Amino acid sequence: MAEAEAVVKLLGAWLSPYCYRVIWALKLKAIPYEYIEEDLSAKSPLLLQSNPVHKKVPVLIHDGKPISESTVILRYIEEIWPHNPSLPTDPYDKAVALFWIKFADDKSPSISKLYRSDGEEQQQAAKECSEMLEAMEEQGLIEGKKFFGGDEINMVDIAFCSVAHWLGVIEEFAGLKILEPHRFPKLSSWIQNFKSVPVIKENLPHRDKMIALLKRRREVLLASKSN
Amino acid sequence: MAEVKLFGFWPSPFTRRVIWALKLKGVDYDYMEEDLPHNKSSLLLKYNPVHKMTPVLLHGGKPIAESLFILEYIDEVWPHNPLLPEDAYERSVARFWAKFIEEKTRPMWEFFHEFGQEQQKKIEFNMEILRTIEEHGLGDKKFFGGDVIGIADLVFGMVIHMLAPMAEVVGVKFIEADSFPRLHAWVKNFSEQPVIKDNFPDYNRVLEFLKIRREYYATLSQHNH
Repeated sequence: MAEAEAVVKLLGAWLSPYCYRVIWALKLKAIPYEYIEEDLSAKSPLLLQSNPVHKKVPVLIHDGKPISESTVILRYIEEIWPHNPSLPTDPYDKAVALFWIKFADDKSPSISKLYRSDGEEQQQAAKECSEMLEAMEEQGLIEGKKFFGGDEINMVDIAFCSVAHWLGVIEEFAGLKILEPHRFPKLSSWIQNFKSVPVIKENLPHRDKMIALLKRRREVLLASKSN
Repeated sequence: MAEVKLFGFWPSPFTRRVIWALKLKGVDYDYMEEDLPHNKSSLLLKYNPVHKMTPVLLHGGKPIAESLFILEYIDEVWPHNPLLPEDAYERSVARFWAKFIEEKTRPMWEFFHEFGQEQQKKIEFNMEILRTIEEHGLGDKKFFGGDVIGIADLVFGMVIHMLAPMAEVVGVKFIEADSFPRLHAWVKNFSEQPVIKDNFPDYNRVLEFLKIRREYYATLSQHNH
């Protein structure tokens, strides 16, 4: 008897924070899915066919229909499976949440720039990261609120995953310290709270494995820059 | 009825798409022109402290920033003449293209700051983007939204009132009938839509505005060589 084709498939890459956003969203709503790990140096025909415009992960395939861009995927998941809501239902509160999700999308690339560059370029990336953290601390996080979503995490918390986990590992690897607890007390609490949520805690890439890969990637990048 | 105010900048496509959305839904609003970039009002800075940019929509005293989400907010609060389709999958496609076009918008203007070889590279970059949009985004549809205009159409409108005059100042043309037949047809169809055609910024005024900018970039470029 043929095995039933999984209704929900996720094409991902283990190091990508954008993929974890989708994994967490699916797990928080207890949606069964098949995970397919992509080798980004040798992308599968399925990936190239499902995301011809960007050729990137994550891609969600639901009933054979592909959706790309992690925040577009998160909105789709929210609409198809509205239980355990991850966005406010009030239109105004939703617009504010979407603002911060876009902010996370726009500013997060500065975090990976920290390990992809050196010298002046790295300093510029560090400055951008610092500004992002300041905005989160001063405008985004509200005193007394455990998460952006209130008592439970929501899509905004998930969108800031790079700050919660990837930044710390990259800082350690690059020998930088941007997220200083005394400068960012609310943010530091938020990170601790976020990483204590069971679904998050049980689904994070391991620091050692990350550092090993970052090291290899940085060597390749800097070698190609000097050529 | 709660008061609606829009803080905007007249030539900006980010403002223009919000104006179109409000007018398509017949929503009354007060428009506050911002003197960008150097003379931002204290209200703008108060309502958008993170980015200090237009557009900002104020509804019942509460501010919303980021034009794409202003559009979604408007669509939700005033649901007639919807900007997003009903089907969740079709909605994800619409959001994907709105996001894609939005993210390529400023990069597509970079040719306007450049000269010589750099400019040529940026022009080719624009052609690539337009090819992707035509083939994968618009396809055989009349509008990105299908038979009626939707959110992605409002975002792509910038090709008519900003990209085209920029191209005219520089002396190039992007969307022509033989190079981009489907986008060319889209330009005609979109421009003829009742609310859209009555609410473009004045083309000649945009041209004059851009000519001054181009002269400024030329001066900068000379000093850099």
